[in-house]
Amino acid sequence: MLIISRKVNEGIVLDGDIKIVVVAVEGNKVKLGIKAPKHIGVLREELVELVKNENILAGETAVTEIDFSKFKAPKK
Amino acid sequence: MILKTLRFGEIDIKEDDILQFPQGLFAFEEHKKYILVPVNDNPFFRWLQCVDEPKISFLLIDPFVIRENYYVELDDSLKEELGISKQEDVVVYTIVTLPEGDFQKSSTNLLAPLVINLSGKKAKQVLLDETRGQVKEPLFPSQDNRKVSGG
Repeated sequence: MLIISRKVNEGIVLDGDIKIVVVAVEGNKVKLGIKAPKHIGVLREELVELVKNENILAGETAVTEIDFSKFKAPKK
Repeated sequence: MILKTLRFGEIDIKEDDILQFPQGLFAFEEHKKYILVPVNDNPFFRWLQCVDEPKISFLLIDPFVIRENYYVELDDSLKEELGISKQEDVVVYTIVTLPEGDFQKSSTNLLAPLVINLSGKKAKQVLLDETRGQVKEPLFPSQDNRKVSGG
């Protein structure tokens, strides 16, 4: 992993058109500004991990009988 | 063509019914082909069966049944990615988790819905903002509330 020191308002450029700037540092929090083309997805790592874990749990659903009649649409 | 699955045994599917997930699902990135299988007697659910791995299947639900004001934004980059030309071609499902196969305790992941272009057969699991839904939204909320108020 490449490690670079940056001061507030300094940034890095990835692949020519993705810019990440350190906006502020407050205690143990770093605020980052990200400027990237629309097709570049920016995702928070912990959310990705959360969803990965949930998908794995969901994918492990045992082949058991499910009584779908128990689920009814809420009355509107 | 005949597809071998763990959940349904051998099923006859049409090549045209195969949905492409170019990026796979989170944690299942290597599997990119799935088909939707209807659930008998309940229109709110579907199964998502992996085409190249018989063991992988997910239960899906129509998230708008769980939360009426739920929405997924189809921005230009997503439309382009999935080749969406008409909004009517798009369906959204969320994945259901059944802890130990217990349907009453099941929840659905409103944070990461599946956006499917039914006409272009392209789909993607998108990650929404945390404020829009939780990863474990209960399917049977009244039971859940009882548990919370009782404990």
